[in-house]
Amino acid sequence: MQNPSSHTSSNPRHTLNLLYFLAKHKLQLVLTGPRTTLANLGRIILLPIILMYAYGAGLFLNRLTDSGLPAEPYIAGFLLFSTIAMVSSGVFPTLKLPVDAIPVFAPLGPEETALANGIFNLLRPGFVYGVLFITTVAFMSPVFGWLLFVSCLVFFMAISLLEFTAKIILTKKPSSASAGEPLVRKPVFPYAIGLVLLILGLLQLFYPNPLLPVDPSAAALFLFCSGLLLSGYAYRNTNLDLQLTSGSYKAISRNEKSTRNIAEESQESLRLLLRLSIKHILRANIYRQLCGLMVLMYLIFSGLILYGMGGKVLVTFLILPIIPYSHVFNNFWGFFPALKMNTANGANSFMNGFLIYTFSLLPALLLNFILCFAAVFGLQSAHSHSPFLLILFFFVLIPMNHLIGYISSIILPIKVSQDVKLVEFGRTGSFTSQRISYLQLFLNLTIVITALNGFIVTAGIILLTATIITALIFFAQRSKLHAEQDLHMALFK
Amino acid sequence: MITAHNLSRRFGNKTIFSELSFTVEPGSTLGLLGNNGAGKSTLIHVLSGLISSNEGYAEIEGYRTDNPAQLRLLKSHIGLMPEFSSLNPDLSGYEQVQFSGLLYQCSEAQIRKATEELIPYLFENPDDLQMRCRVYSTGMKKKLSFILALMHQPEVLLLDEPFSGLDPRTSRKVIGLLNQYKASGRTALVSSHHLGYTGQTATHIAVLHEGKFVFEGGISAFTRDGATQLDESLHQLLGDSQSDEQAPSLF
Repeated sequence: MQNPSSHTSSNPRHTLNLLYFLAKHKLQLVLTGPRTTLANLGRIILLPIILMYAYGAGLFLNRLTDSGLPAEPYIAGFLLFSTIAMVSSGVFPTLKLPVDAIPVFAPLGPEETALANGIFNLLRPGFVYGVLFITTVAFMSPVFGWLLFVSCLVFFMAISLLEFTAKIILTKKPSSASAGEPLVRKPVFPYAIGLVLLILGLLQLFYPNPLLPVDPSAAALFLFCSGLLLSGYAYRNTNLDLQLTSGSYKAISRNEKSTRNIAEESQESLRLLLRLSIKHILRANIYRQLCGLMVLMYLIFSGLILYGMGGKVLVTFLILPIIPYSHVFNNFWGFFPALKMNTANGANSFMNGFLIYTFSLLPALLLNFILCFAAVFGLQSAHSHSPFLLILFFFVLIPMNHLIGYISSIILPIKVSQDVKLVEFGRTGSFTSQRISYLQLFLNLTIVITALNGFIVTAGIILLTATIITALIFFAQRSKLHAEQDLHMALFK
Repeated sequence: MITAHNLSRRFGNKTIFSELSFTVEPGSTLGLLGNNGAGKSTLIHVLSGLISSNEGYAEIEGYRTDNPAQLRLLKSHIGLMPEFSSLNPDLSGYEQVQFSGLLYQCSEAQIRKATEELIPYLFENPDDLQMRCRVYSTGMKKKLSFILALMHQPEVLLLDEPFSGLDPRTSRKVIGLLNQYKASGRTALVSSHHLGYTGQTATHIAVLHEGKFVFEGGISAFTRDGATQLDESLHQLLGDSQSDEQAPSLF
């Protein structure tokens, strides 16, 4: 038997070295992030942006206060929106379920393991960002009121709880599940709720009756909930690859593990492809479904609580944050399915791809329309001084952003399989595309709000910075494609 | 040295294995074979102290798996390569080596040997290890896990599917290292479905089937009945030579 004394006893120096290593590593991650340099850059600037945004929103809303409106709920509303949007972006401060940094087979005692795991989890970027965020809000609170701090803190905790719940639900296997049984069943029920809410909202607006008297606030709430639910379920992963190989299309559903070959030239092919693409676009990503539902529930409950505090504030509180949130949630590129094309295809393939994307845009625009409709009624019902600029901004921004995503999806083929020479269009589920979308949205909002406050120069600087960063990210993406350029050019000649 | 005394393990009502007793002497390598779900990984987990046995116990270098006070010492003598990666996704390969060095209290010389000799030996482009582990391919993760299992020069090596995901050239290098390890008088247990590779490194074979060892002995005894390859012997032993004929007609 070997003498183990040299390297098995608990050594405080080794423990300290281990803790130092973990702390250093995690703090580096806070600064540099776990991803690529450019993504990290976005991650670093995201927090100041959200705080600037909150500050700008606060100033803007203080102006509204001068005209007799209470500022605090608005600020809380804006921050609520910011928080939800950032959480859905995946980089916002949020507590997460603790993970084990120390492998179970490592020869450490229970105390050392607990200490190391504790340090590791406390220094995770989400938590550090969370502390920074709450601290900053605490500093802002004397100016804007303590409700701001309390609502941020409550929301931070609530969103963490949401994260926990989603994780637990997703990782928990149903005890009765047999092999091959899906973890979560198809979401028929939430779709039904969405449709019922939509009908209720429309009834309340246009066909008043004793049960549902005309009430724009409630109608707006119904429509908003419906829009959120439906758009949440239509989220990004389409689970469909459309491959245009020589002479035929191949529709591959990752969920159903089915493959359909469709002759390229047949009349049926385009109709079938369009139907398939729209159907799959409306499919839900399980995680997003759960999150969407829980966010909705949370908002309804928090709204009810706030209703007791502020009456009509309820509707504004709910609707203002949710409109942009919904657009982040259904990030602009996410609507577009991955489309793979073989270089051997003729001119028809490109045109068909173009049509598929165009048709894919329609459900997205429709859902956004429902949300905007809800927003207008909500704002009008909340007070008589509708912030028309804000509404106008939403109306202008939404199709613009979709258009950017749409065009980008078409012009940025990103993936080539050397064996079969396929070019993939669309950025479905792409990390960078999501981040760009989030960043773009926040920058747009920041610019508008800063400009509304009269800080035109600041708005200009932010716009310039945003342009440069976006250009850099796109440039990085393009350089990745360098090796694939020949193929790309061959296709688009 | 590994010694198992009447080891039994159940999950709920399902018995994974029962009353397994065996010894792996220093300087020998046991090739652990068996079908999917036979309990090979579970046996490795029990031997390495990750999960407890329901009955019986194992001894690794004299430290018992059923004695919580000895678990830490037991783990420090084992180099474990789990079937699935246990790498921290946010660490680079080199950081992972440093981290593992801290966990196992490795000397500077051991860490240097891993980074300057083992990594260049197994990785054609060691610069790839500057990237974070989350982007590694299956093969890269396997190679790095193998290095981490070896770097503290353990007395006992437990490898769960070490060859899956490795290219033939790297597999040959891994076999070379395993044979070197064996020649140094240390003990290894290799669970694998790659029978060819297992045959090149194992001195003994144990076949786990329906919770029992249906074969346990030297590798020459395993192939003595005219079978020239390990897979033929295994098929004969498990009685599944008719599997081709039983395949459903799909096409």
